[in-house]
Amino acid sequence: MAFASIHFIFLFLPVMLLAYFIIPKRGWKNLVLVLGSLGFFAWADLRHLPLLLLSLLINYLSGLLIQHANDHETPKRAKALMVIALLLNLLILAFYKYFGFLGGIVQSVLPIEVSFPERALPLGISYLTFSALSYILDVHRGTEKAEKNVLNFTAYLVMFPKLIQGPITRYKDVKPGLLELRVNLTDVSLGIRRFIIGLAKKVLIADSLAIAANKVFAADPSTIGAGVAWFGLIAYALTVFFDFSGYTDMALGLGGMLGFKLPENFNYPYISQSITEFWRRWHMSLTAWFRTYLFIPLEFKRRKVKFLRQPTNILLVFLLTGLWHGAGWNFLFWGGYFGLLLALEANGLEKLLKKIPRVFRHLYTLLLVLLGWVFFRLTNLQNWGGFLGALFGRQGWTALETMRSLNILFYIPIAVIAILLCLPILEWVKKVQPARPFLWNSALDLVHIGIFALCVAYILANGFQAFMYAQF
Amino acid sequence: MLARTNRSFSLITFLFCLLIFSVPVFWALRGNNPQGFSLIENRNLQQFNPKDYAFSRVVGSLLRKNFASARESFRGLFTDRSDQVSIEQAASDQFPLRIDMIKAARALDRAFIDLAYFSASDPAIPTDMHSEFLVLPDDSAIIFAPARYDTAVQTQIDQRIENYRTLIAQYPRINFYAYHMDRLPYSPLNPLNPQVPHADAGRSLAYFEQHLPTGLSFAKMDLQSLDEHLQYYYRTDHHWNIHGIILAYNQIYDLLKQKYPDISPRLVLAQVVSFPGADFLGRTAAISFYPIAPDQFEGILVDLPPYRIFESGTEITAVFNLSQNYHAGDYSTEPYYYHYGKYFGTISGFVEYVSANSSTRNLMLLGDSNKEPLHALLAAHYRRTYMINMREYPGDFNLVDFLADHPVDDILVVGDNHILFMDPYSAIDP
Repeated sequence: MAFASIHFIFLFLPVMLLAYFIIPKRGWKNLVLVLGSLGFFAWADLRHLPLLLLSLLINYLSGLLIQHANDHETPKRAKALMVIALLLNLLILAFYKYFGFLGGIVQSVLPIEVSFPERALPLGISYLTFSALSYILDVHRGTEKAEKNVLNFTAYLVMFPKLIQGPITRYKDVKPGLLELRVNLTDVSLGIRRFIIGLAKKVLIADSLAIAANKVFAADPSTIGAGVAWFGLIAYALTVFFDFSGYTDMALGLGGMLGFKLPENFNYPYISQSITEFWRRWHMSLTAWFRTYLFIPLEFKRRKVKFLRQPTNILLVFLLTGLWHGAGWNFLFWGGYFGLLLALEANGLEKLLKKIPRVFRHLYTLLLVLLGWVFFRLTNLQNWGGFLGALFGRQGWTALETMRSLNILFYIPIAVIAILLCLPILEWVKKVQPARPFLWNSALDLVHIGIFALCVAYILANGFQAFMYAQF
Repeated sequence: MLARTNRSFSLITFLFCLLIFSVPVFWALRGNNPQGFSLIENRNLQQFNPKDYAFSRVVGSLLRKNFASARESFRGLFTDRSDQVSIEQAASDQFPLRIDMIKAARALDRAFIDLAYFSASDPAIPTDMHSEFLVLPDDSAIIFAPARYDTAVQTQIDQRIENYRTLIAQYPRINFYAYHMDRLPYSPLNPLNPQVPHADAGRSLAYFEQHLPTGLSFAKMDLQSLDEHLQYYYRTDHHWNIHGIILAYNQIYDLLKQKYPDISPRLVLAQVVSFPGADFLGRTAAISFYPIAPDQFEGILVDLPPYRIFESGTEITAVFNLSQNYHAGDYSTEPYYYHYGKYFGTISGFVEYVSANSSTRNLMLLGDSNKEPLHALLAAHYRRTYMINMREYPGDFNLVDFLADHPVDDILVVGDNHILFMDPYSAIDP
């Protein structure tokens, strides 16, 4: 169930909020949250519900057993349990997400034809798995106590605001909200504003620019000039950001309405002055996860390795980051590409960058990030050469396909607005100290409600179905 | 903007809750009085049907102690998402003020389009962000963007030319005719051609004419200017209007007469009649939702020999089109009512006209919905006329099989470039 849909906003959300706020006690609220989230999950595909329940059971029991082993100072047992729990989680993830990809690799070395079909992904499986892994690892490390309350544990893993696209949360992020009755009107108001901002990012900007980007990437690269190729690539870069950060905003907003403070995931990544900074601002919860649970332990484990330790660790982490984003060679390459750039920056390039004017640092970062999106977007590696050739003018600035022939000229104003919104303009507005705060806040509230109504209109407009040859 | 302030009242919370709760309350209060049909979309709107959902069926079956049925319905919950899809569609379709909100969204789309084209001097600009239609300056008409012409298209044309050659060789006793209607996607008259490097701009027609199969009698509208084109086509629809139909009839009559010298006299199509209040907003207006002034819908009064219309052996003369009702003053005046389809006839894969005249010849007329207005006019000159729309034809069409039951003397294909010599599905299987 997409957040940016009529049935979510006008069916699921009112029922959920009503049930959640009618009930005074925290424990019962959590029950409502769990039931609502399971319903939210089942709505996508009921067949996956048993799998979700199994995953919950495995992780809940694993947490308790690891805790028990820790409490009784049996570290080997705790470690064995932790490893089993990790493997089970990764096995489920691999079975659903990587079966086809891994099967393809196996197939390429096998002399006989074997079928490795792609499987329908359970909703949010990557986010769910990483949240579960962080819980198991935190309990094993002793940085978190295992949750005995099955309701609280379930709510942590499946809570609907973060189920589809994160952010990836650690248990400590959610625990205060699960244990305390923290919901107040201010949190709800801010949550609503954040939800509306996210909805607008998704519906008004990302969904529009996605059409432009798709048209450019669907065109034969030998028919597009550099102008169209760059516009398509920029539109795609904006689409990815506004789609993903829009969803995060909606998740944070919904979390806020329910009394949870979920971690931020984006911090104006396109204003970065290096690739290192970009990854500190982009998908922050995933980067933090890999840093905490993979990079730092790797650095510690391989501390005696002197030669290329850090660069190889970075590369490994980013290869896995790439694979996390999707099961395909292009995602692996995309991860490796950034891993390599980060390793270079960590070993002297970033120091050199600081010596050049700021504007060039921005250009350097944007150029490399944009090129990275080519690898991310084009899943078929054979298409890279053609598109990169178009970008760098193999067909000249204009070619057979133009902005008009693709009918994408009118996306330019939307792209310009989107580029402006990539700058921290909203942060500057936040700093305004109004002379009359009540009036200022009321005006902002009305603006938000106006944007909300517009988003609803756009969602409805996307469902408009008039056809040329409808039977008459 | 998102500053934290302690409040005892929150305007946004009040308004947001008011909005999101009022919609389901509206649905609940309205009960059994949902919006049923969307004229502009020409479709039935999805409704909430709680009793039909699998979960309700499970509960109902359990209450009736019909456990087998309950088990079956329960299994249905896992095997398909039809209930979810139905509810999602109903939530969207039954939204209060839906069409007004869509209009508001499209208005904002148009503001962006105007902004993007503000300094451009394009002869036509997009109507909206979804449909690929364009609107001429002063909103004089909604038109199609130029179609692509490339080697793939040329290959398709070659295949259709070969198809015609095969037919002509295989059926030497049948006369084959093709009539080309000039439509803007393929026309040199499309004002956007200069801005679209791969635009057809008449090239596909020129190629077809250069390689015209021997034995195929061919005629075309051959329009000379955009203004002339606009006279013969609706401004808000993709079909030709009554003036285009009259022009086509006369040209087709001349074409048929070449190999049918004793054809009955040409029909006199002089009495064009308009229907007051029948403002016609056709499919291009509906799909783009562009706020354009409607066309005045017109019909024609003509003396025809009596005829009967059959579909699959059943007579449908009274229901195939409502032209008689229109002439009797019985028609809808609702915006977006599809007058073209109602007046000229519904789309059908195969209908047969049997005319009470002295002709001994039979005609097979192939084409798309643009041929519907020609049905009765051409049928007046033949004993039996078989109207075939390949896209809608029930089953696979095969000429050998068809001729076994329906002997024909003339085969006429009417249509634009797509129908006449591009679309492989419109080709006649010999």
